[in-house]
Amino acid sequence: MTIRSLFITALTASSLMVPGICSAGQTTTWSMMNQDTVEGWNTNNLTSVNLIPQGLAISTQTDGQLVRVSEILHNVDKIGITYISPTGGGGLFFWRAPGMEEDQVFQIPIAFKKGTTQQKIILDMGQVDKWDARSDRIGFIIEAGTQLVLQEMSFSGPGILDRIVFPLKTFFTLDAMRAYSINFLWGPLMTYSQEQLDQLFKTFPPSADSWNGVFYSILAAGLLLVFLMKKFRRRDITVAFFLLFGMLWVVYDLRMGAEVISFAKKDIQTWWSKPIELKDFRDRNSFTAFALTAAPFTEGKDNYVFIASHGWPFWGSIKYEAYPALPIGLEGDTEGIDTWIIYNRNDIKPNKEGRLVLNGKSISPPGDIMMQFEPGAFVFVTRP
Amino acid sequence: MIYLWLPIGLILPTTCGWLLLRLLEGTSPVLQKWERAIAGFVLGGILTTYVIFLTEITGIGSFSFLSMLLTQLILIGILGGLYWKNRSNLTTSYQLPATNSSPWKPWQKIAAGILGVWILVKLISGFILLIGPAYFDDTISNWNLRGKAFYVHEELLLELEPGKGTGIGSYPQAVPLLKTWLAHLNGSWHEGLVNSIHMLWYLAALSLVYCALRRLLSIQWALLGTYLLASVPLYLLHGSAAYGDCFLSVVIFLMLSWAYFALRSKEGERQSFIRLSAIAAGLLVFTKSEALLLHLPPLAIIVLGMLIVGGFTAAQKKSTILWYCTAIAAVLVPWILFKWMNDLGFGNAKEVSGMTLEWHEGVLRAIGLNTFLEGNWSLLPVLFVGLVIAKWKMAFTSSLIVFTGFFFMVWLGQLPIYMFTPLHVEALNQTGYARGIIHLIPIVVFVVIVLLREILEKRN
Repeated sequence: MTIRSLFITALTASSLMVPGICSAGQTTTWSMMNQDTVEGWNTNNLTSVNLIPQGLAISTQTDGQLVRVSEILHNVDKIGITYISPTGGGGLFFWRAPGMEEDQVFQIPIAFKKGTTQQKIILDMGQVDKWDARSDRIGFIIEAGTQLVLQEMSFSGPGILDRIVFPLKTFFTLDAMRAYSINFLWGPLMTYSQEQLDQLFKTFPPSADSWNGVFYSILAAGLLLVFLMKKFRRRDITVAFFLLFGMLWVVYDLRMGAEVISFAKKDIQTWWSKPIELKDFRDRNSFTAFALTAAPFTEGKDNYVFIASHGWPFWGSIKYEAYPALPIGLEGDTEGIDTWIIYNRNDIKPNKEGRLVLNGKSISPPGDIMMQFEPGAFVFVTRP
Repeated sequence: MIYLWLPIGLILPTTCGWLLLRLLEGTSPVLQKWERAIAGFVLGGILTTYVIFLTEITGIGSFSFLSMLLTQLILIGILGGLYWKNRSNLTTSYQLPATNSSPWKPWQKIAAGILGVWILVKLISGFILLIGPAYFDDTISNWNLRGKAFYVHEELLLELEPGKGTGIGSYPQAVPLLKTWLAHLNGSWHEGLVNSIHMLWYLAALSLVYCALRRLLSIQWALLGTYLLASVPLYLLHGSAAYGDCFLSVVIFLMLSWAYFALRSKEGERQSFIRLSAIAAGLLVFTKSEALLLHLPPLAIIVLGMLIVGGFTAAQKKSTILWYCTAIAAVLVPWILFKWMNDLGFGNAKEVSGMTLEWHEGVLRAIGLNTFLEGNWSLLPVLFVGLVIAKWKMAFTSSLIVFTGFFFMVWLGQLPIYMFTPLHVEALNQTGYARGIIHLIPIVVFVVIVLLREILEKRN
């Protein structure tokens, strides 16, 4: 009976999820090429607008507006604009979202590339907070001096399959260990397209929804079922509910445990199994190996000069690795300090006299490179 | 070979801790053999480093190998002497109640085996993460840097960089000093060796939650609690990083769970638990800065509540007040005096004095995200909240209030700090809030298992 109850709970929960997962339509295209007429377009203040076989030819000496009534019935996260523009030019893409006043719109800047061949702009509307595919007006403000043949506009959104496949794919897409991992882990996330998935952990915060919402929905549905069964059938399926909870817990644990294991696997692959000159450590690349190699040059010294491409995290790391010697920046008093540790600075090199030179100015006494780790990363010791 | 210094290095602190706990239990032992050894390892580490710290600031000793060794040996000598003197009273051992067992079903054995292997794989992964080069900010700028400074200079340094202020110098020295001790044994600073102790604290958390649950429930339920704790993702990350928060969470758990069992016990056993809890509360002060401001005041309220409604006799009340006050004062007074004399701050991350109060938007949203919509805690927050609501009577009117009361006082107490003070950036950037939760995770898991069992056992 318990298994049956569990099955019913799971089935109910999943059926509640279905409306959220499925949606109709994938791409709507407005083509202006080889058309006898184009419906729904209005212009305002544009110098000339003509329908030609190549598309809607626009030429304007003043800022003007081209707008169309829109009735898109599906989600849209990518808008493609195909055009030819002999002059190039700038403008705005705008839309009037549901609930907005007649004279209000949201807008984003766009630029038409100059050229005599077909060009295409892809607008990633998934990244635009205010975008709403249900907008009833969509159009352009075109800057004065622009010539443009608008050929086609396409509005693409995730299809039914994408709505299922990409959230699942994203669930199993693991983050790498980063400095923020000690404070929070993003956990299982949901994206709805390949582009979003590709960008998942490259943006901060990730442009994705949390899977936790799905887990909570399933649990809420299960809880509702427990209540309904108790009230109307006088059956207690609490044990089945907690079995469902346990299953979700284990799934979550597998996902997050896999992430921690992947952290360790990466450490083995990029750090533990490599010789020092090829070691990379997490998102610090070669810096950690460089710092460990450079630190012995500071032994017995109070200070050394440290110059790197970034302050954080390099400054704190080198300070720790080379302790008790302490780093001094170029803006500090470098007088009398003989050891210079340079990281990721291809713009700092010794000149013929042996002095380190930055932007054409010498910044150190004459010395020699004692350890060249990689281009732009070395230990330099001044001559006595 | 280097890692052999870890068990060797822990012999002295663990022995100190074991002796202390056994002496405190007196004629009414309440700890299981392994539980005492593990708790001894945790508390012994704080006790020995605290005494080493006292010898340093009073000029009697230093942070050199010889001084640290001698201090620990003398401490063992004193505690061992007391043990020897009282040995005739310390012969009995604790037995778990026979009622706390139930036969294993085949599926339970299979599940326990599979999950056990899974936990082991995660532990190995965590250990690999832990022994790599220093990576996280506070490892580099605080925990390990101070340990290295004490190791190199063999004395207490409050200002690691001349002219840069004391800052982290105001934090308790227990964690860095244990690293210093391991480095002394090894003869050099070895990142993997000094960090490996963090994994032992994580294992101690798993084991001690198991032991505490085992006192009440069957092996199966206790193992379920251990699994739950082992599958909280951010807690595992903290077991795999050289930070002090997991360590603090273990000490908080010991302090509270012993207070909880004191409330449930009678006569001699009650007093044993009170003494153990009092010592853990005292040593808590020397674990991490926030213990002083965030954890001791709620404990005081809990203990006060226990005395009022816990059915304590007049003698027990007197003894309880005396033990808590003495144990806490033994660490708190010297520590406060030391801070005051050296003009050290009392806050964690930021100084508490001179803070301006104003409403900060977005804090609650950030806290909500961190708690419910990220991967930090798995499904633990909804499970905990759901069970506390479903069994609110048990959660708030039984002895379990020791845990739930403490949790809500600490958690709710943190909210205004984040909402109204400059510490709001710690919540907005999610750099501080989650660490406050890490401290409470073992007690949350304990409450969850007790409430869950209450719901499910009734239906079986």
